[in-house]
Amino acid sequence: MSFSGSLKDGRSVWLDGVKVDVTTHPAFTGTLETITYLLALLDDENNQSIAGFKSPKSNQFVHSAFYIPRSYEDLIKRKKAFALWSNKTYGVMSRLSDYANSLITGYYLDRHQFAQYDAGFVEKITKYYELARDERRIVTTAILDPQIDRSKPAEEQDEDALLRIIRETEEGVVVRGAKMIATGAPYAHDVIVTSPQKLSPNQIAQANMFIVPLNLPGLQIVCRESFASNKEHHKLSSRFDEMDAVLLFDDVLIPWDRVLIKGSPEGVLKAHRHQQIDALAQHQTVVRLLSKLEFIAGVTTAIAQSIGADYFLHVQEKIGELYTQIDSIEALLISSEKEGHLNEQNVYLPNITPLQTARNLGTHFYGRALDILKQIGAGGFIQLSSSPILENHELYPLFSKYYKGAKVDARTKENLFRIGWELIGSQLGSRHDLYERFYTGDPIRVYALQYETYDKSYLKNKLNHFLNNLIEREVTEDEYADSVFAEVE
Amino acid sequence: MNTPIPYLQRLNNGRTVWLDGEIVNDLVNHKAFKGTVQTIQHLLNLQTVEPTKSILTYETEKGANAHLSFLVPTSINDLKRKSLAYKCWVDETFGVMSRLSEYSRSQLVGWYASRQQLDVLSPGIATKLEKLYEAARDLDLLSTVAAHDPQRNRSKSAEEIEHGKLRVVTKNEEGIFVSGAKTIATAAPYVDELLITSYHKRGLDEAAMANIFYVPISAQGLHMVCRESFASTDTSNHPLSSRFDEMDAVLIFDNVLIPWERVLVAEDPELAWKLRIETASSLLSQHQTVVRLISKLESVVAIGNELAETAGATEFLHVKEKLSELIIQLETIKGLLNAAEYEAIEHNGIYLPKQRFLTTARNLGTRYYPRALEILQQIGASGLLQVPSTIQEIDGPIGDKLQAYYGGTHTGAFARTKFIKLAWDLIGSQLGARHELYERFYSGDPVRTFAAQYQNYSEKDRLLKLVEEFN
Repeated sequence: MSFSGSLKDGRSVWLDGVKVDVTTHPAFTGTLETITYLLALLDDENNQSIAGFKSPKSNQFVHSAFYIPRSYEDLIKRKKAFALWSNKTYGVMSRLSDYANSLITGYYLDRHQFAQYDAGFVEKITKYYELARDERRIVTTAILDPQIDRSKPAEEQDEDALLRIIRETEEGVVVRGAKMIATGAPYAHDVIVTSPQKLSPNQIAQANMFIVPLNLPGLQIVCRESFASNKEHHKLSSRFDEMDAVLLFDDVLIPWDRVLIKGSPEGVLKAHRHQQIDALAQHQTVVRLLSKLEFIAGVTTAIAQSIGADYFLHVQEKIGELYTQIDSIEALLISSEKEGHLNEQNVYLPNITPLQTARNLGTHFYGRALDILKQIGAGGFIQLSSSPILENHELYPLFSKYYKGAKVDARTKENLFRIGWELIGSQLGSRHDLYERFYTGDPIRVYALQYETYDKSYLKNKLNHFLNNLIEREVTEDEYADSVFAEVE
Repeated sequence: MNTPIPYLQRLNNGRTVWLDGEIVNDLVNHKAFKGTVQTIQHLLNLQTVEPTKSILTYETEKGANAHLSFLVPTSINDLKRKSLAYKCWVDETFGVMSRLSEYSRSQLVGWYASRQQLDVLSPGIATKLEKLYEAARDLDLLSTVAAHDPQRNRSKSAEEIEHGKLRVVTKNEEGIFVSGAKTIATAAPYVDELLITSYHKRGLDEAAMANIFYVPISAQGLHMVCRESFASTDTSNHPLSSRFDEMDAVLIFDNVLIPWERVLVAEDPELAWKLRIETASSLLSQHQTVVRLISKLESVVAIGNELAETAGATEFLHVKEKLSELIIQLETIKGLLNAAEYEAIEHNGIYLPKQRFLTTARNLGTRYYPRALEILQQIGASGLLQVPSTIQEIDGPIGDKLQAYYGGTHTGAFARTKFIKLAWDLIGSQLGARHELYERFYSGDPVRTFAAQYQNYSEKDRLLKLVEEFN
């Protein structure tokens, strides 16, 4: 079945107050075409071995996010697959499923750690891992609870504020509540649902992990306003709008084989922590970030050159800063791969510290990159004609004369500034600014997490060594003179 | 065969060091220098005893041991060995001493490794480099480098203010005679020889200033004019200033003879520039600066963490965020160093760390360190001032009271005070202020070094192509 065809599955996607068919609605056309194209790379002879590997079960090419790395080279194979997709989408599409598919791979590899929380976990995740891999399922996540009152602890929240099981049947559990932010949910197949909360032992009903098919009856997928454009000159918005949605579970029956953890606050906490430190999944996010930073640095460089602004020292300085962003993230990526290790299950994992560092840097880098792009393009972004002036238009001779740049013609310059504007000024662009700041979680908390999990012992030793040696190495004048004398002799 | 002379013996060899209007005759026992001299002696001793001996030295083809800064790297592993040697020394100075000779030695190693290529440009230079390199290596000579003209009126063009810049006055069969000044010669009073280079690209009109040579520290007519000393003699209350003041000096040359065998470039702007930007020399010396930066940032994180822990501040989310920012600085530079080494490039038979990662690390460093000090202030806050004037007072007449009020969460008054003295020395002392300035500017004017990253970026065409394909 085609990707688009697989979405005609009875799902309830709401946009602008009506239930829509995502396969035909213009808000989704460009994005679905992009995903269809990316998936087709798995069937394209020139790309399939970069994007994927042969499933041991189906013998068909499947995405490398499911590939289990046993060596440094295997890890690089995964990276190349991530980079292929993220470079084709300029890092602008972040939830193409290779992140969530990596999470599935991670849960599958560590499945035995979860058996204590739910006896069915091992069998269910194994089955799902193989299914998602071989059916090329597009997966996303919905972890957070709705923003209702963040100042209250979980146990004081309104009873419908946290997704919970309201009853069980032979087929599965019936759940009620809401989850956010489910990026890509309108056109994904499944969504991983857990909780970020540290739940108390009596919050059994809320303490679950599911992998929910997005077409279940009663599951309402409520989209934000669409930022997609059908104008050809909006090259990003016409192809890469990743829709975000809130999921409303209005009494949804989730079948047992998709209930991975039931009624275990500890298990849910463990599952959430696992996601936060899942090196295989974080690896993908850093590869994606690098593509995006390269793109925005490229756009900024081209814009500066197009109007001769790169003549100025302070402009060069700012673009230099963008290059330090790229180099930092790339270096951390290389470092994580080279300094990886084989774990007990014989899986070669990238080193988590450089990845964590890169992700935290990313929350500040992208906003700063936009800031620099604005400073350099300046008024140029709002002196574009409302739509492109074509060659047969009466204004064209004037357009060619007044809209040209230092070394580029009017069309080339216009194209550059239009991309720039989409990055800094379009709704899609603004959404990306927000996304990079927050996709890893509240940045202050993810920073704090890095502090908490960082191995500080070697630094403490260094400090203590220094302070202790201070006393030992204090010598009196006489002793010192003696040592000098001995030395000279 | 060259036999090294003991360091302390070499120090009082007639060098002209000016401090507070007088010539310092005995550096070894002068209060402004002796702490640092003692530190350097300690570092040199580490080369002779295990386990540090095998970390710091390698065996030369002559069968002697030499410091690893002299090793010509022929593999990635060699680069890693050099890193570890740099790290070993700088860690002994808590990350505070930056010019322990490895930087200037690495410049020489780079030229030495490329001597055949350079000999094509300047016949005879290979032999000179071999002699200089072997002498420095076998005699374990300490060195530093001075490249800049004095800061006089930078808004004026060179022709207008020629006076004062170091230049060739005359020459004869013995060598060149130079007069004028060079700055900043960090650590000059402590070393054995100085590498004098020309930082800026010069035109033919400035040929007299386009020179590169090695001058022995005791050369006749060479004056080292020190800034005010930031050294303290009180080790327990000023643990850094009492041992690690590197001293900065302006070099004034008063008709100094530089023998031909020590002159690499004389009155040749083109050759001076070629040596200045020579790849191996630049990359090997930059490599050391990044290792050094890591050691310093490690000390900063350790101090920040201890400040927070001993004040019970690690429970606050915003404090954890700030400490994490320090960790992220450190880990970013470590990542860049790793990448530079893993992605090392073979160049004329030797291995060089990858340029763009080093450049980025150095540029980030100019902004990281001032920010790190700011965070230390925010975390330490008034605690940095809440200590008795001297640590000895903890055991003095009101010691019992001090012990009751000056402790930390899990440390006693003595330990906490001792630690705060260290933190303050890094944050608030003259030595600390000098270090902030150093990190901002040691690699050059940061606006220009960032701009240079734009101008020379190896990936620029690839990025532009990306955008071209997009359209």
